[in-house]
Amino acid sequence: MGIMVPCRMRNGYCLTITEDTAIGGTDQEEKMMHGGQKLVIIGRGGAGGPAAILAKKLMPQVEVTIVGEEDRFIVR
Amino acid sequence: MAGLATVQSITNPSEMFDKAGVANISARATAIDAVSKIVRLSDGRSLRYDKMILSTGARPFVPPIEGTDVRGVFFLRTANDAMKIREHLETERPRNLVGIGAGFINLETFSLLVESKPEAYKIGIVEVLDHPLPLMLDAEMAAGVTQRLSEKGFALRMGRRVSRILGRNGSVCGVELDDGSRMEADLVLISAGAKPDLELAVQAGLKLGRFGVQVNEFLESSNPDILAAGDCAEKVHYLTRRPVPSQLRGPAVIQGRLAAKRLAGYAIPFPGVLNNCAVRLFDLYVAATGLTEKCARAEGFDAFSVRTVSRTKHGMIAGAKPWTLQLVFDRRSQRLIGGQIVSEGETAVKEIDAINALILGNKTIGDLTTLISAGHPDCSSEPSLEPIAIAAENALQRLRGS
Repeated sequence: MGIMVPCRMRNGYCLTITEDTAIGGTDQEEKMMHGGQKLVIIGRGGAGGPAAILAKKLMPQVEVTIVGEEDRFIVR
Repeated sequence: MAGLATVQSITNPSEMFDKAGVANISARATAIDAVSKIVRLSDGRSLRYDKMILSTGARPFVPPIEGTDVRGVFFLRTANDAMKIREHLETERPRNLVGIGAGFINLETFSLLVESKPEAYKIGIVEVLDHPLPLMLDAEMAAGVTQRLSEKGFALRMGRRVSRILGRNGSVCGVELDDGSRMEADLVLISAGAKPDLELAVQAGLKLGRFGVQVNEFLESSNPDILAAGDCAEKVHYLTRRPVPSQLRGPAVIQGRLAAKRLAGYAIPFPGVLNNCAVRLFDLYVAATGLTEKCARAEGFDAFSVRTVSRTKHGMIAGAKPWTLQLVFDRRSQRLIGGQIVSEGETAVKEIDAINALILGNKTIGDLTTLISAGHPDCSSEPSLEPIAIAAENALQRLRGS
C-alpha cells in the first residue's frame, strides 16, 4: 500500500493518489490534464464510454467530449 | 436477436453522458490533425484537443471467400447488426442457419435462437479448427460441449473451411465446404474474429503493432497526447508478454478507465490480458482464462493439465449439478497458466475469476494445494471437493510420478 499524497493540481482541486501509483518526476505536468483543458474521446464502446465517465469524475474541470458514430452500441 | 432483451436495455443511453457532464457528439471522426491537435467530424465540425483517447474499436474480420456480400449473410458486432439480423429473422423466416466459426459469438447466438424457438431452426456450424470454442478449451474439455450441441441438433462440421457462400437470386442459399460438400443455408452468420479499426490511428501517424495501436503499459501511444484503449489498442498477453489479438469487452472497460486515470495523474500499469471469458450454451456454462494446454505448448511452455469433477452444491442438497475444471500448469516453474470450466450450473462458472486472480498472482501448484474456499451447501461443493485445490493435488502427484 502506498502513502496517501494530496496532489494539488493547476485547476485548484485536489486529487488524492497513493505514492506508488502517482506519475513521478518531471513527467507529471506533461502527462496529467489540468482545468480548462480539453479531452476528446473517439469511440463510445467498451473503452470510450467508461473512459469518458471516469475522466469527468476524476477531472471535473477538464472539458470531456465523446464522439461516436452509432447512436446505439452493444455493451455486453 | 432472440427477443430476450431490448436494444435499449443492452446499450449505454446518451443520458448517461449528459448526466456525467460529458459532451456527447453523434458523428464520425473523419480525420485527426495531430500537429494542430484537431479532430474533424463528419458533420463539418472540428474539435480542438489537449489530450485524446482513441477507442475506435474493431470491425468484424471478413474472410476472403466468395459470397460474403450476399443478402442474408451477417456479421455481429454492434446493436445495429443485431437489429438487422432480427429483422431478417422476422421478415424472411429463415430455417437453415449456418455459422462460420465455432467461437462463443456464433454458438451463444444460435443456442439462444434455438432456445427461443426450438422447432424453428436447423443449425449448422463450420469451424476450421477441430472442436468448438477452440480458443477457450482444449479438445478434452470441448467434448462435453460438442455432445450437448449435437444433442440439441447442431450439425457440427469441425476441421472444415467454408470455401464459398452460395447465392440464388441475390440471397444466400448455402455454403460449400473445402471437401466439396454443401450445407443448405437461409442465413449465414460469420464470426471469424475482429480486426482493430485503425483508420484514424494510421492517419494520425501513430505507430502500429501487429494487433493494433502500439501502446506502453500506461496506454500511451507514440504520440504523447494520444492514448489508445480497447479493441484498437494492441495488448500483450500477461503470461507470454507477447502481443496477442484481444477484442473482449472486459479489457476494453478496464483500459478505458485506466486511460482516464493516467490523465488524472495515476501511474497504474495495465498488466496484460489473459482473455478470460464465459459463455452459456443452453444449460452448459463455459469459461476459460489464460492459456489452453495446446496454446501453452505452442508458446514454449512445458505445459500439462489436470482435470477434476466437482458439483455446484453439497451432496446432500437437491439439485447439485456437475462441473469440470481443468487447470494448466507449467512444469518448469510449476506456475498456474490456464483454467477451463464446463459446468451444468451457473454458480461454478465464476470460479474462473478466482483462477484468473491466481494466475495474475503467479501462484504455483504448491500454493494452490493450500487454497481455502468459502463454502456453503447451497452454492459450492463440500470443502473436501473444492476443485482448485483437488486439481492442484493431482498436479502435485503427477509431478512426483513423472
